[in-house]
Amino acid sequence: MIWHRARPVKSRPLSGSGAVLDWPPDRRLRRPRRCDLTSSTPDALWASGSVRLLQPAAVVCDGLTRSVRGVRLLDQLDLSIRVGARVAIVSEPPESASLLLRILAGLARAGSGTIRIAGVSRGDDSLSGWARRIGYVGPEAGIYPWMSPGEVLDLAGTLAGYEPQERQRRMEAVADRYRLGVWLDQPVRRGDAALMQRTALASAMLTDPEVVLLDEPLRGAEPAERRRLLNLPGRRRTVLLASRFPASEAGIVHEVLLLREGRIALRASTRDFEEHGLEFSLRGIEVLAESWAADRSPAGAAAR
Amino acid sequence: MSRLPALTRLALRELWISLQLIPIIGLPILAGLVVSVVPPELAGLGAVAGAAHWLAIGLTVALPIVGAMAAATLAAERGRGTLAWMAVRAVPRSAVVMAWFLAFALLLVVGIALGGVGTWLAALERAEASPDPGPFVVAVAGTLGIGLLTVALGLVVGSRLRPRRAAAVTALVCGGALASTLVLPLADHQLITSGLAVLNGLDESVRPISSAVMLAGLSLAGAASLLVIAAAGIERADL
Repeated sequence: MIWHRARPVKSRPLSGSGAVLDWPPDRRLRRPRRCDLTSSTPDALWASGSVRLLQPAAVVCDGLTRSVRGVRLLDQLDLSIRVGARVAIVSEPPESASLLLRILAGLARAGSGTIRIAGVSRGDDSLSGWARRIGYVGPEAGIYPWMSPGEVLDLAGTLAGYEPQERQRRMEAVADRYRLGVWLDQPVRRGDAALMQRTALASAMLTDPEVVLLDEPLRGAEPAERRRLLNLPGRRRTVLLASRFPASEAGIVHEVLLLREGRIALRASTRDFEEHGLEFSLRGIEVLAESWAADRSPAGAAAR
Repeated sequence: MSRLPALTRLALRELWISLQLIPIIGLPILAGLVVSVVPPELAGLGAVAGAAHWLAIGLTVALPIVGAMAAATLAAERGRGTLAWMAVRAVPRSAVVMAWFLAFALLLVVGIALGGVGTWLAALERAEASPDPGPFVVAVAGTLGIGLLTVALGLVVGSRLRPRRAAAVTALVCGGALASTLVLPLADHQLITSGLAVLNGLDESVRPISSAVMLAGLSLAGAASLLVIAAAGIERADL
């Protein structure tokens, strides 16, 4: 995790409402002053009041830019996600959100800009760094269909460098949570798509990662079951979830980020939707974003 | 690289379960069986030289197919997300490429060795006197370098293109290069694929053993260079 001191962030009221959205009007204001303390620091420190003042950030992006086939999907993106946040990322075009998560996971390269995630920068291939602190689940499960969930978890534990006993303990824990018990020794191809995705999620959670990046996960699961599985335990765990159907993420996330043409067009909490009487859906997000954009326009500023 | 054994085992198991293991081992063996079907006299050569000639022709067909399989396999790894699954676990992408290379190399060693044994036995059956196995053995071992070269080229192409396209490009490039090696006169051969020409013209070569060893070294150096390029290519690829 990267901690940065609290800085004054201007709050602007939405036009026609009393709601206040925290928004960085100038990206320089949000450029963090970094202290490489991580969320792995002792509980006593976390319990102290100073944590509130320090606003530890789990993910920090500075000036992230990337174009794909001439389309700018990320445009000088500055982002700071605090520790413990549960954020849905919605984007237009939808590829932007997915690309952002893949860059954060180290699967795609940024054209320019820097990232720090869970206290480590990309290139930290040490077992104690990248492998255990970050979990990623993409739309493709990425596991061989002939492998059983038990083998997948065992391999994930081996690659993460756990000793056999610790590996076994962790495997049992995630197998229980993700209800893999019956299927543990069966090839995942014998189950449905949801089993493969559950296995992928379980393997990502095996290391108890500080930051979990979910790119359209568990689309094959029942909505209630999906919500249960994606409500990942841990107050310090930060979850970023790229979604094309934000309505299905209600109850899973507390915050939403709308990227439009590679820039942040809205950042709001789920409470803001309630205050505006809006549904937490794609339409609701667009309405809130339009309202916020109108407020930022010169006419809106003059009216204010 | 400490995770290389686990990754290589995984690659071998994937090749076994996807049934790709059979052609990787079987094609060089089939190449060795050509001589049982086509008599060496048809090429106007002696028993051993003729058998080696037909083995070289068989390998000219078999090795590009194996290279194409390597290309398609790595491209498929990228496409279905298994490479990404490993990359997020801090497995160096170059380690995955190396694991696939090792898996293919192990199987090729078995296939070419069995193909060579089959060819030699067929040649012995036809030979009037007891022939010297030295030049034949070294020449066959030298073709392993070319096999590794085709696999490495397949991994380079597979790190950039989609499976079908990668397989087609690799098969065309390798097939063209190996076929031209057989067509060109032996004296002109200083190419990384020329080890095949030594096997093809075992009687014509003045010093077959030293030529085969030198050309095998050249092929292995080429394979190593291509592996470095493949690793660099996969590092730059979006997964």
